[in-house]
Amino acid sequence: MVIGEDSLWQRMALPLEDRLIVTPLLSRQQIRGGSIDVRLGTEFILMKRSARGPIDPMAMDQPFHDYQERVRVEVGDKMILHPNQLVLGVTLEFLQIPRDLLAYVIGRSSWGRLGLIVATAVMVSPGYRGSLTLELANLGDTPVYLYPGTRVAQLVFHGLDEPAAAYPSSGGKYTGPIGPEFSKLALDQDWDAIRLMAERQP
Amino acid sequence: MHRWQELSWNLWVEQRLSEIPTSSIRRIVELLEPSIRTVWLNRLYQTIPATAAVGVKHWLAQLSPTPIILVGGLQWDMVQTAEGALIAFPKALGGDPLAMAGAIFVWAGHDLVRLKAALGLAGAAALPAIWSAGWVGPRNDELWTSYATHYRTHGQNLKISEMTVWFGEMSSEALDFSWPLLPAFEPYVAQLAYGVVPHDPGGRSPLSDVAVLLALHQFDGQERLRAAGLAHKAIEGRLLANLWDQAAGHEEGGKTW
Repeated sequence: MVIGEDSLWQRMALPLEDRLIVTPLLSRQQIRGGSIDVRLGTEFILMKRSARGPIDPMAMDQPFHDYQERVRVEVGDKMILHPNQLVLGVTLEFLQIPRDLLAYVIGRSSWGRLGLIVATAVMVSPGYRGSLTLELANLGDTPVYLYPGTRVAQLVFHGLDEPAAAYPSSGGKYTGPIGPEFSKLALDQDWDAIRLMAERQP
Repeated sequence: MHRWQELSWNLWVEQRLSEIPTSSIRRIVELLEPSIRTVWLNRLYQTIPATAAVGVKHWLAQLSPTPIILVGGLQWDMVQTAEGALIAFPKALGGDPLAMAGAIFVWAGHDLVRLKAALGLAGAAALPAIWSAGWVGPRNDELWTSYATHYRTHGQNLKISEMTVWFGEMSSEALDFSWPLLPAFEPYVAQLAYGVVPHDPGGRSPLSDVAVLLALHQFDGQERLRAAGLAHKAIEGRLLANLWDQAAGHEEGGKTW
């Protein structure tokens, strides 16, 4: 069931452990109907072409500056996103999702019509705490400017039948970030099994 | 006939000057003595942004009509011309908003008028900022004596005994200043300890950045490193919220809340 506006406001007034946190909320109008608008933050990770080799998700032990660069773009300034370019951004807002809710990130169609895809990993787990990393990609043929502070996506909240375990204790890798975070795929436990299978192959 | 080393230095200076991205900074650097200029050009060339300086930059903009630029270095330092000032900060402290708040006291130096203007902004967070920054200022003794005397009943809240180790015992001279009441900062301490960005009801950013800085002052060790980023985010949120309110007032005649 989608959580409505009144319920969202009520949850933002609960005791700290159970509170829905979305801060800074620059305008009350960010909460409308059954969703909360989130804004583009000021920090980005730009992906670069590496001279040393591909990203290996099993190891990811290359120095990160080989293939990424962190930049800060203040509100009022702008950044260009070229066709087929991938940039990691972050929500301006810091969130805490209560353990009995999960959220979906949905890009605003107004940006989508310019070719901008806002998030590919759309589910935010129950108990998650931190700003959300946004995978921003320009699928159009024309460069697009990104303006920090603009509303780029919506969060839609759904209730769970029973509260989930807190996100970190259920294996969550991204806890408490305030800026964009690069992939931590190498921390997946599946890699041990895949390595073992690779060793046992004749 | 110039020695080749001299020509090489001149070329390096010209290249670094041409790489300065804004004309206001270039004007400040061009007015410096040649021997000092190379030091500051090197700092500007190697600088990294102070990620938690957004609050103190706003304070500095209120204090000075000319630009004040923060530049990463290894220690606090300042140089100023008629066009503005450059303040070097220890790069390792750039992620801590309370330590970066110490920059306004580096700017004030021994100038009493500047010092009182800086105190007017930092209030009860002033000496915690100087302590966090490790800034050995020329009027620290007078400031510390005035502060510790005024806030002695809040000794535990303000970590007066811990700061005494660094500032030393009180001197006979005390700076004459009307210290403000302590803002309520306990809820923000609880929020930082829990691991979230300090906020008011409904997700609004805290109205007092001094209260957020005092909450951060309660943390030490690894917890301080984690809490600094969360406190910075709260201060940045307040600045943006104020700008948003102003813009809404200008454009719609309404308020955002």
